[in-house]
Amino acid sequence: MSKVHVETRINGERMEFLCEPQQSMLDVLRDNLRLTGTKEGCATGDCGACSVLLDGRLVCSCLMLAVESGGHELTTIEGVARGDELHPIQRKFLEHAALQCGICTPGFIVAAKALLDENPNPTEEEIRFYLAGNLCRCTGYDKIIRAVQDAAKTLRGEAA
Amino acid sequence: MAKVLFADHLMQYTAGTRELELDGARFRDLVAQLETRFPGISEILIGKVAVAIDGDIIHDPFLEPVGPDSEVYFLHRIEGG
Amino acid sequence: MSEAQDFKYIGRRVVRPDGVDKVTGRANFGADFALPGMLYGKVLRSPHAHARVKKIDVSAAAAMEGVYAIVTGADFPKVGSEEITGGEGAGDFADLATNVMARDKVVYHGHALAAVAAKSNAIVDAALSAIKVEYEVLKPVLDLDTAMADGAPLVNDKLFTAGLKEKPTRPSNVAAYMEFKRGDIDKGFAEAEVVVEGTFRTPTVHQGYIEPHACVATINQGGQATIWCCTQGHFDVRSMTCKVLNLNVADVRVIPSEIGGGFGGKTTIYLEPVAVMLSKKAGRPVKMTMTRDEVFRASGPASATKCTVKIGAKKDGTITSMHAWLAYEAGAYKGSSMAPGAMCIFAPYNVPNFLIQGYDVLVNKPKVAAYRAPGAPQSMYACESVLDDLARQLKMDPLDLRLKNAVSEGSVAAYGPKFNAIGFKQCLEAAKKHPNYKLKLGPNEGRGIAAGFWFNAGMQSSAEVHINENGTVTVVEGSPDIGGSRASMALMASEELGVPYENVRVLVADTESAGYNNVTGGSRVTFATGMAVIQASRDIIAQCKQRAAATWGIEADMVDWKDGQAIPKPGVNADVKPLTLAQIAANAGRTGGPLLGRASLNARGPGPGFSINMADVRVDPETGKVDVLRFTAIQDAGRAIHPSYVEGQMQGGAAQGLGWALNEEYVYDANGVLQNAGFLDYRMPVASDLPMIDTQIIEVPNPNHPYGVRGVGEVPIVAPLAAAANAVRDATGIRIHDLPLSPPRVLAALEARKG
Repeated sequence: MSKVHVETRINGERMEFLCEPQQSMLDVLRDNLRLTGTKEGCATGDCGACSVLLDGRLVCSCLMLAVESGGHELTTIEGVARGDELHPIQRKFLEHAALQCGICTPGFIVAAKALLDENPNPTEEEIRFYLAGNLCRCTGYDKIIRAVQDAAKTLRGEAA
Repeated sequence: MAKVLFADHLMQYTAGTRELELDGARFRDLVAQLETRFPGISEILIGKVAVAIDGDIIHDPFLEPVGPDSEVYFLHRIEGG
Repeated sequence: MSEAQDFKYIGRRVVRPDGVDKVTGRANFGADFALPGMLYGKVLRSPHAHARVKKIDVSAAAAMEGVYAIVTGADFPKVGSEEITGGEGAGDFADLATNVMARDKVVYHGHALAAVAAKSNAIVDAALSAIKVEYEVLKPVLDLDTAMADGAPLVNDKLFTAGLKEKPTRPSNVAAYMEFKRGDIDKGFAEAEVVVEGTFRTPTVHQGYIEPHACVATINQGGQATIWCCTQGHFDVRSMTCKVLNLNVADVRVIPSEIGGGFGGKTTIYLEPVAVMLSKKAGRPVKMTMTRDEVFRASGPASATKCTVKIGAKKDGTITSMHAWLAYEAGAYKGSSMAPGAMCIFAPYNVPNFLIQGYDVLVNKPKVAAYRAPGAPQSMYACESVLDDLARQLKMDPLDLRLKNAVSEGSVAAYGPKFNAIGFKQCLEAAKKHPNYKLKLGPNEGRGIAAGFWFNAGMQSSAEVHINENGTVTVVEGSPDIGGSRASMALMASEELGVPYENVRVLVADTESAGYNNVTGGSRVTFATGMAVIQASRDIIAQCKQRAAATWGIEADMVDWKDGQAIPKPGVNADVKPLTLAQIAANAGRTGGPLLGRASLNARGPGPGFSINMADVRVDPETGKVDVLRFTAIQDAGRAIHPSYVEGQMQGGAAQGLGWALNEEYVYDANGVLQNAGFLDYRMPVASDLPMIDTQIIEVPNPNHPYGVRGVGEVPIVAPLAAAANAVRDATGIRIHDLPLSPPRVLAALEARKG
């Protein structure tokens, strides 16, 4: 089967690639485009380590075919920081020690960004249910939730 | 004299003896004496078990000093996960 | 080591030095490496739980375009029987080698028996499908009761039970029997005024690390190999790979990537020797990663167990006798965590009479590997549950029952040695005083408490401290960072040297750049590697004193080191200004050469860790669902170098323990095929399952560490199992013995009581 040529935008940048039609977006991000910040934990959409934003919508890139990205906008973990500055979510993850091994962290940060873009003032319960699609085995989620709450405050201008 | 004790599963190498008193400045001196009493035991005691000297567990002691009133306990080696 | 130390850096919640790379996706984990010309490798796995391999025909696969190498057991050297010391049970290198690649027999569904390296994953998959294998299918043994019964089908017909008083004449699935005794339990039970007993089963569970096993291996025509892999112990990857492939450790370099979780499951090898062999045949680098399915089926889960515990006590709560019968599934090769489980089970208590009987049992399932305090969660689940029942019968507060029998400094541990300074009573007292213990409970709600324990390990670590020309510090150590240990190493170096934390960098170096280090595991890194970093820092200070003395024209023993500076000791007649580390470093070339401090040690006396956990649950009477309303973890950490990461260990271990108690289990069919090899049906806790996890760090310093550090990583997983089960007992009035307490099981118990 011949490869497909895809034109898309990733993290604000125009990108094009050749891929097999059956390749997932996750595989292409990691293997073809060498954007390895997005992680594979299960390849079946159960762990959220591969979370990306597709036109601002939170999706598992392992459940998306790479060819589906044509003509759309993707945001990956590599696109969350603004140039030289960490995004407040990233800063708060560091301040709250919301990561131990760090493998789930890119997925959580992308998912948290989607949450706060949609709902700038979520309750603890809303945060927990929104992030229920992201598995973490190290932290027990406590410090992740606190980091997201604190980041929300910062983004609302209520704190630094 | 240092008090030397063996966990139950190691008593198969000491003809059922659980506790002994031995003299020695270093761990290896105790092992040498045990080897005289129970030939072959040093193969088990060096490299295959953990040892607690006065309550402090060490993997693979050899030159560790042993005091005149020390308690030396041979036990199963645990690493963890 | 001083009791109440005033620390400048220790105890500060600093941002970890590797943090920015981890929140931006820059950090490289096991599957993030690529090399030019790299091929992709994958394993062919047995579709049978137990079978003889009669013939493997790789010809069709080898002929495919894009296939560069195929290996089977025939390509691997024969490895003689040799005990793997340490680890969680007497494993054997011969077994490790055949686990990595089966020879004439496959012993669990998913067992590796061939591997292919090809240009793309698609070609690899096609090639694997084209490999033809002839099997003679054998009957699998799949559970403890069947495996231990007379006349059971045998997993290994050449295995005889070790540790029996009479040498066995017939082979058995029981690989080992172990006994621990004190006093006379029959006498003790006769003296008891109350006797309580229970039999408990725990399922096979997985460590559940989010990052699957992954490596890239390359070996040149001179036999020199480099392996990048995610691992808790790259020196062990080196030594084990060399054992399996009969290579010289000098020729194998292992570079540890960042690791996405291990919890004990990444202290052994699976893919690495296979990748090296494929690379050897192909003449190209080979990348291998496990799928999630493979991780569940074919890595090393934790033992399923059956534990019976009987406890006798006086009416005032004094324990007179304890008896434990423990059977642990080892999987298809011997070496479960039965021994540490047996050694932990009664460790928190002063027991005048006890008998612990442990069995290591083979079944046709993957060989178990370590999982955070291996063996202890299962055995202590049983004991802590029976103690709960005993407290009820005695109408005694469960914390008071434990206080009455608690070990303290000077007590003789059930596993043998005397305890030095420990913090169990302190944890119990803290629990009694904790506001969460007094909170009112509503309908269908219950509270359970339980104790946890782990020995913690010492073992070998090496570290170097390099002072850069501007006085900044690079710590070079060899302990893969699974939970923020770089930050703790930097804090300890800062504290010793008296320089700001921001001036310190930490490198986790590979097997050719770091001195030898035992595995990151056993709760040993902050203790043992920390000790090495401290000693290497002190080596630097000694060198700095010499350089300053030489510069000032006085003797080195007339120099003090304070707040990052060399100063003459009080009373020394020398009209000189202090010399900072930066100044000494800038002049290092002139005063003797670069400043390089080093230390290597076999750490003595890790401090045992104790915990008390409290769980509040609500049980839905209509669905049997158990919701965790509140969880409190109290643990003695000795000294919290970085409190956030100590809390993190307590919270993470709690989540794993709660998952083990409430929902995680391997489900096998009658043919030994795992039914739930994915995160959807192997249900680990998610964010919406848990509340905030309250923590309280107790500090009873370990006198063997300069700052009093005690290992903290493993203890947290032990108590949650019984804490949750005791809470369910409290909420429902029913003692359900078998884990997990998943909704169908709880509901069935509730319905049974109604009917």
